[in-house]
Amino acid sequence: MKSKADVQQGTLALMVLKTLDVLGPQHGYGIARRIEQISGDLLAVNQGTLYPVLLRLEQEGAIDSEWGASDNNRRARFYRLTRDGRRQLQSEVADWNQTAEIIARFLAARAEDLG
Amino acid sequence: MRSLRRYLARIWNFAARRNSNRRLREELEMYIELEVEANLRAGMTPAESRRQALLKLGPAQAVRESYHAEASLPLLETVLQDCRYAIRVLRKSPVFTAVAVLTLALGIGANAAVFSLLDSLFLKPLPLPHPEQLVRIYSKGPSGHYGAGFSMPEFENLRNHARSFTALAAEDRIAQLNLVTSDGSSPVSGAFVSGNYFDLVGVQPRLGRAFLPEEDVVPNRNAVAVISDALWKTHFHSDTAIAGRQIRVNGTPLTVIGVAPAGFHGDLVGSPEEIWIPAMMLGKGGFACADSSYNCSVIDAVLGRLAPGIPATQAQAELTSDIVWTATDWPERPSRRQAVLFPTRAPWPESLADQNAHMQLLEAVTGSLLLIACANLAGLLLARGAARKREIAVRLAIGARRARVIRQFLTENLLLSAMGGAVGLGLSFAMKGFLARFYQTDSEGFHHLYDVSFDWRVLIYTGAVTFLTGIFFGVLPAIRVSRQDLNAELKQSAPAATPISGRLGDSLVVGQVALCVVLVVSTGLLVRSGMQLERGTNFDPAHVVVLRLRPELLKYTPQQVKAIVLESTRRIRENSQVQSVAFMQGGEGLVWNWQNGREAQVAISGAEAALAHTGVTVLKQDIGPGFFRTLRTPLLQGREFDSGDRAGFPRVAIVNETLAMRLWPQGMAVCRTLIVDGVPHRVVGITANLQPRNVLHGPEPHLYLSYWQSGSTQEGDVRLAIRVSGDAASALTAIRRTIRSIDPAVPIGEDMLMSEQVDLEYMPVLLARSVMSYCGVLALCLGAIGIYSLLAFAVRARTREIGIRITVGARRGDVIRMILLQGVRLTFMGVFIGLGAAVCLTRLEGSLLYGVRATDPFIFAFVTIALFVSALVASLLPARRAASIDPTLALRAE
Repeated sequence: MKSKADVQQGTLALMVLKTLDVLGPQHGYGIARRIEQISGDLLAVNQGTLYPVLLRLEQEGAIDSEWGASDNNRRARFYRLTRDGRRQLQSEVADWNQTAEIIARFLAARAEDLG
Repeated sequence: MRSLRRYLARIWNFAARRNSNRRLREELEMYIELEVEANLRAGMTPAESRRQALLKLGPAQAVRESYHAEASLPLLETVLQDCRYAIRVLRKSPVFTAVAVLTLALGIGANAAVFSLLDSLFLKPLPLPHPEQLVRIYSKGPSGHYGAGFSMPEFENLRNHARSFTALAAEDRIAQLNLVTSDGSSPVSGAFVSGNYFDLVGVQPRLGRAFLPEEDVVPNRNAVAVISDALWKTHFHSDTAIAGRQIRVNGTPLTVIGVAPAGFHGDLVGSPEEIWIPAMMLGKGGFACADSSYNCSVIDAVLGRLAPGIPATQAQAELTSDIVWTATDWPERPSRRQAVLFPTRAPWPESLADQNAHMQLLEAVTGSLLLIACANLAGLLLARGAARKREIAVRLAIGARRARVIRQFLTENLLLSAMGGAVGLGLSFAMKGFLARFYQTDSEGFHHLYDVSFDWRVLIYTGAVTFLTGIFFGVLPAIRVSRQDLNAELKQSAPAATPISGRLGDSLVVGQVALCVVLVVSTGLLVRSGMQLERGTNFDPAHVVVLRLRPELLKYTPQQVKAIVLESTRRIRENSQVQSVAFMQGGEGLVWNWQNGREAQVAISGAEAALAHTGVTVLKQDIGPGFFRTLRTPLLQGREFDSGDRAGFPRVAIVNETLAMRLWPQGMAVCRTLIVDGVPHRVVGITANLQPRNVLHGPEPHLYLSYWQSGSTQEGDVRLAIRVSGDAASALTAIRRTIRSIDPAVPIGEDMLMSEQVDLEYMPVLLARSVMSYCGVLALCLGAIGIYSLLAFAVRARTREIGIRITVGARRGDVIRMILLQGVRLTFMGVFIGLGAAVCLTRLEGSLLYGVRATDPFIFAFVTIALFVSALVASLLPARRAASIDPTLALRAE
């Protein structure tokens, strides 16, 4: 069995924001599962890191939480993106894309291109 | 912005002690349930589903901790935890805590009190709008004296052309004005100021009006005055209809036009003004030239308000560019004068250096005390740390890092110093009141006024000192205590005689003793100096009352002055309490007399041709008969003046010892002829040197002439000294009444006991003596405590060793001697270093040492003995405890 990678430091917050943006309000377990699914089960989300990140995002005002009922009518805390969070997501996505593009360009570089 | 928000939320959680545990627990519970369900769906057995779910969750405690770290402020929490622990530890040893807090409080309190005084004297801004813009311009004469003054045309030239100022006002402070109202006459202080003065300082009268511009244009025309709120209340019964009322000041009738607001005392810190008169009235009301001419009316200083944004340096540059002196030169004054600018807040520039030196001395002394206290506490903490070795070892063993242990100890020590600082701040209020009393009155009888209220500068200073103190005494022991061999300590058989303090503790004690020696020696010297002054050097101030008659303020003629002086002395002598009456002309004080323009050139007869070579400039005083008898100054040869030494009789002179030695080194001065300013006088007596001199200044030659023979000085200003029997205060009242019955208007000032006046004149000595005595006594106690605690600790650490010594035959006496010797050895080193330092340092207080040398052998010997005695006493207790060690108990305890 192929071992799953842990989420890279610093990217978990971005994944959380994106997940909430795409799928709307989610509870913690849901967020973790969705991230794992989206990654094609290549990532394992450690709850120990997820909850502090959720708390931090909430204290920063990027997300909001309230109690609600889950699919099978269980009480659960649902997180949703705030307007600040959406703005934060946009800027982080832009940053990330830029970084990725730069890295991709570097990795694609060949000697003759630069000659 | 985002992280700010996050921190706010965390601080809020922390402050509100909001507990996030429940929320996390619910989240985790739900997570596990959902995970179990998912696993069940995937076909696992229920037990396996749960196991996998828990495995995936990971260590629950670690999750909880990282969640909690995010929710709140863990650093602050551990600090608080440390504080709580420290409080518990300190409460467990209340005696140690009390001693430490008291030591710190006394040390920090003294520093805070001295700083409060300094703050009131030098730092607190004037309670006026934009006080930082206010400057004062003095005229510095060729001799370096700042009182050379400006002429009116010079001031006007400056006012009309200087561009660095929004306004300039002439200001001539006259310490003594004599106010005559229907209730009698009293001395007040006031100033002649330009018409724009109140606009310049930014103050509006509470009653009536300020000066109009046209009231300060024509000399001697507008006789008006503004009075202070205090004067209005004390002399005019807060009369709201005061405007328009007539008063007389120095013989000139003035109309009161306004009352300054409460709290405004002029622009000079410390010396409150009570009345303001237009500068154009200087000729009539002040001490202008005899002809009251406009051109030679001299003003002391110019008050200026700097234009916004103009730095003082730029204004000074403009003043230096000759803008002042291009006006019609003033023939009688030396023209090589400079205009020098000072902040208004600064004291009179000539006393600045003295005051600074004085304050620095006080700061150095209280600072040394605090240093001793720090060394003392550091020693105590080292000893305590050694006693807590096992506790520390256990903490280290169960995984505390060293930094954590150091932090814990530092927290404890800072907590101690914070407690000490808080108590010290409280103490400083009482001490400050005590110190401020020295500044209430001066030797001329004028009341001073300083704002000694508490302000934020004092708080910040005290806080900083407290913190630094905590760091100073706390860091070293904390580091030292945390450094230890775990293995050795946890094994019971550790050699107990490896004192954690060791050499460090020894050097702390030596340092304390050395500093203590310096402080106590300085204290001793000042105490002797103060005693000399109070006893009087060649004069006896006890049972003498003094007062000053100033008929010249009323512009009396020499005949009137003569009549008043004669009549007053005659009538005072009739009082049954009065033993003798003496008087002298002007001067600075009865027994202290500085250069004041009354110097004379003297030469020996027979050497007139060589006058240029033998001429000596001496201080000259004109005195009446019985002067030296009244002051009980020893006459070394001849007689003093009597009623026969009047005008028309042969001119006579008395010289002091120094002048006699200078002129006639072979002795036999009496009956010689002395040429004083070209006039021959016969020397009739030699007196002891009267003036108290400090270490820095040797005795000066003085010449005394008979008041009734030197008619040129009979314009007034006479100081009386009256020796009385019985209650001096009631005698003074009676004497005042006598003079009032002769002339109700003649100004009387400086009326007090001579001992009071001496105390006031030499206030810096007495103030320093008080502070020094406090610090010296405390230093001595702290030094003794330091030696005691070091030895007590050493004895405890060496219990087993001493037990063995006793077992193998050491006698009690040997043990006692061994411990005492350790104490004496440290004391010896400390005293040796301290005496060396004292020899170098006591010279710094030379200006305060009267009648005692800076290296007075008596004081040095006395201090050495005192220190050894207290060291012996401090060592005796631990030594006796060592001797009483029961060897079997000591050895079994290991």
